Amino acid sequence: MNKLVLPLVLVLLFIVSACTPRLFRGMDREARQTIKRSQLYPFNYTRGETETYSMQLNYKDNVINCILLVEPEENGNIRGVCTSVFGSTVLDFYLTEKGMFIYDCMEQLKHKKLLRLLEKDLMTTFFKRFDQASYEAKVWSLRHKSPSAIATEPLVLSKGYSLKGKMGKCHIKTDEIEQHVVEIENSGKLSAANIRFDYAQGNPSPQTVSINHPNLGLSILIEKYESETNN
Amino acid sequence: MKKIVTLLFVLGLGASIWAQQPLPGNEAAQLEKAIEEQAAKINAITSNFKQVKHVNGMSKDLVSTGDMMYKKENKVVLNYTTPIKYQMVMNGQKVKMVSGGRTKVYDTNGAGASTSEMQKMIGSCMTGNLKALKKDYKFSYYDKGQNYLVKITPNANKKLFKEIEMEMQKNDKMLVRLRLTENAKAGKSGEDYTEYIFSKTQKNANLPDSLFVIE
Repeated sequence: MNKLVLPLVLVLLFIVSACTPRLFRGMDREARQTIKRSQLYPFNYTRGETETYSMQLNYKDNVINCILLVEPEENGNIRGVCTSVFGSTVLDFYLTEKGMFIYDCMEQLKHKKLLRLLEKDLMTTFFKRFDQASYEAKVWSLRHKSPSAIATEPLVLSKGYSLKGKMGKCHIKTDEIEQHVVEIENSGKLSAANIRFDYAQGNPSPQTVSINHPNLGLSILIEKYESETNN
Repeated sequence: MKKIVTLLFVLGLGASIWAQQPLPGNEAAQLEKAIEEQAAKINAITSNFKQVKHVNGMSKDLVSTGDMMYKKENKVVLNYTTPIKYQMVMNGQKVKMVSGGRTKVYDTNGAGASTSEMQKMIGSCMTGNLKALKKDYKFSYYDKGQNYLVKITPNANKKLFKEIEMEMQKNDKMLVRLRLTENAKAGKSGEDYTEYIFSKTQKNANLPDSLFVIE
């Protein structure tokens, strides 16, 4: 009996380690690759430009609608503020390599766990410079099956990277044709999140970001829009 | 040349001082009385507004526009049209918010001090009913050329705003600009404010109660 335990454990370990993450189902496993985490970010900003987004937080029956301003600085840090439609501050923050510094936030958000969660979401979404280290990533790819299409389109349509970065373990899916990050899955007990990025044609940065925390019942929808601004 | 520069500097300084001249005690009292008399005559107001949110440290301000309706007592509708469509109806202690086809109704008693204070502030400032604010705020009055400027500062430190500025036309005492300056934040220099600029204001427009119904 004891002789069987070790092989059984080894087989189970092999099965578990060989499991394809949900995000990469239908894709083929490739060789490992060393990649910089900062290469796998969805936003391509022009520094000094202020981007305006509408932001909707849905938690159970509660909905908070706000406007999010994001401004990448010359040093690469991100200055941001989220205000209610009426102008009151929801979250006034600064993203640096050390994390999110909060200048001000509304009473309802003043919970350590909730702010940690928002920090992780905002860092994952907006702050490219946060994690510049290189990681050994497991790689998956989706290739063209039809030989006729290979002649006109890239061989690899989509890639998946699984790595453990500064923010913990994550799976990142890219669109190799458009060269976009399309989905990120962050692991974690309560902070587990699925983040989808949708792009308008020809735009290097996403038009819509949908963040879903299935374990908490919290979802955040961020949509870009052009607004009238004062200089 | 030096004399000209000095003269220009003195004139410029003089103009800037004159631009915001404190009113002497008797004139301030007269203005306060005139504002209150005007407030007593107002039953309803409609106006367009431009809202500017300034956050220190951000290079651009966020600008929203819309229209506003006010009816005595405590009935306010704010319709935001840009950058997003959003409606807020305040009627007594009830508040309704409509956005993206979703409606939310709640009571200001449970919504925290900010909403009820905002409601009181908008109603009082739009109509000039300063009496309602006298308990918690102190007032100072200034002459600003074509307009009067009223600066309102809270008596207690824990108020939502550090200072409120109301600018009103001299002829009819109607509000043209309202600035709400927030309390300073730790680790941050400068102050944030929200400014409302009102235009096309109409007094005592016929506003049916149905516009303010919250169900």
